Amino acid sequence: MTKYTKGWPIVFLSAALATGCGEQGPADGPPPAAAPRTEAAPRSYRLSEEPAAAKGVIAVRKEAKDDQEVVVVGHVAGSKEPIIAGRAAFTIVDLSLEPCEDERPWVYCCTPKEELIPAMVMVKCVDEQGKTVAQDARSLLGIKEWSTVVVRGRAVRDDDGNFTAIVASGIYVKP
Amino acid sequence: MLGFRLLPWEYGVRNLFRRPGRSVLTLGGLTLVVLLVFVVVGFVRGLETSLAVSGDPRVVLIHSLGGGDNLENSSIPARSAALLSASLEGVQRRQGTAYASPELFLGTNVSTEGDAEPAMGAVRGITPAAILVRRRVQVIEGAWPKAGEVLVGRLASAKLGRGAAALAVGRTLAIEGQSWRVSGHFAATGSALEAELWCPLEDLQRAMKRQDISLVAVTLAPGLDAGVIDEFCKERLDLELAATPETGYYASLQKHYKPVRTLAWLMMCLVAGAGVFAGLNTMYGSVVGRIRELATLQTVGFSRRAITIGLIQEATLLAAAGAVVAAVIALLLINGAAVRFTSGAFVLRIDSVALLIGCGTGLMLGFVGALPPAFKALRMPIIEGLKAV
Repeated sequence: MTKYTKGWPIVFLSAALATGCGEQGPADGPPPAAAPRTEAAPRSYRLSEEPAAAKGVIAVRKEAKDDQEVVVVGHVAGSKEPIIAGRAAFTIVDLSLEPCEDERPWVYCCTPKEELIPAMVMVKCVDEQGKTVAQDARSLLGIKEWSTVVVRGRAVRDDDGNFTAIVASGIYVKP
Repeated sequence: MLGFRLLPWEYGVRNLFRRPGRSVLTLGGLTLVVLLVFVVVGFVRGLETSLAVSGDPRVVLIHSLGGGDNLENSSIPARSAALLSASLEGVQRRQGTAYASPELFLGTNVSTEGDAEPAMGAVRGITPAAILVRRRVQVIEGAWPKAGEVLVGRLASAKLGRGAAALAVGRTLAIEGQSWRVSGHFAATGSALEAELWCPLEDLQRAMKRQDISLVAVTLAPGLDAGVIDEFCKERLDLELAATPETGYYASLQKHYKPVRTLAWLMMCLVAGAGVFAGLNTMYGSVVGRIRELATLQTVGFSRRAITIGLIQEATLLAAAGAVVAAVIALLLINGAAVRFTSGAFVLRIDSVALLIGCGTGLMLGFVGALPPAFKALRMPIIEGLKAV
């Protein structure tokens, strides 16, 4: 019995403090403005409708200039782990490439490098600072290996003219 | 408390000494079975531990596209290390030096002095940067290799199937048709690196007439994950590079060895099963020779349950003694013994888990082995038991 009665003052004190905090707010004037958010809410990169006039990866790699807007379609594939862990970045492969195995078609284990590399490109979602969003593409976009995606974005070439990535503005995942 | 009177504890103990020959034989058999269990569990634990400690979570291996399954097949330009050091922001640096170790890794024939037949060894061409990245490596004897010298891992002699003397400091090895003097020995907390031979990268390239390297091992800056390197490699497809976290590489090797581990556990079950049958056989012999004694115990008022518990006590005591003897032998002779394996070499490890499994199996042998003969003997009517010869 003593054990329970000892706890009552703490309960009363907590209740009084809680009640006090609630009553004082409105009496002092208008409620304070919401605290500024330290992190921007993650932008939705997922498109609900398929962008029109999508081209294959091979064609886009050949034709697109640096900073050009492109719409490209491909499989999430190109290696054992085409989706980079913990980042909104992944590689896609041209639909024309035949997979080697049924179990893990995204690996393209028997496709020669000379054939695979020109048909493959990295897609990434970046934030306002231009950094890759630090959230796994699986959870951010709902993709998985071998998903077929249509990406709308901007082509990026390096100083030597190598096609390095597509910075996505929107991604449609085909059902 | 039990509702019946137990046989005195000393009765069971004394019984073991009444038939010393039989007891010693049973003890020997049980010790052998438990020792075999220790060997199998020690093998599995050694293999698992070796692979588990082999990967450094902060190290990423950069190799050629598709070369991640077997780094011996990977080939990238030698300039990759400098290029990666300059391009990658996620690599740890100290006073301007990037923690990036270019390495040439291969399995090749290694001959030791006085041995006619060469053996397959794992050789790694390294630069001084290796010691920055391979944080667990420690030179335990001799010195870092200079031109024409080789630093030998603690388990390299086991991998080559040679005695430790063949790889002593100052001895000469032949690798790729060139002589190499052993400059020292290194340890790496039991990891797979300990089975390797390390020599200067340029010397190895010259000996092999190769200009490429197999991989660049880089240490990530604190707080970064392997994704930063993976992203770089996937973006710069023109470099034809791929990144694998070192822990992931060894985890994939562990996956390859899963059937070996399964087989080892199966072997352990078979050995234990055989041990149970051996124990059963011995206990049958022991109990059948004591039918009159057991009937007499029932006559003087001990219940069948009490006698069964007494028999289990005897068998378990003997099994426990066998387990202890086997554990001592295992700790003295088996623990730390080097074993050659495809990926390199590792040491048999009699750790707490192995001791628990080994001793547990021993006790189980005693307990299970005593039950059927005890039940059989006690099913016999008391009168018939008293008449038995």
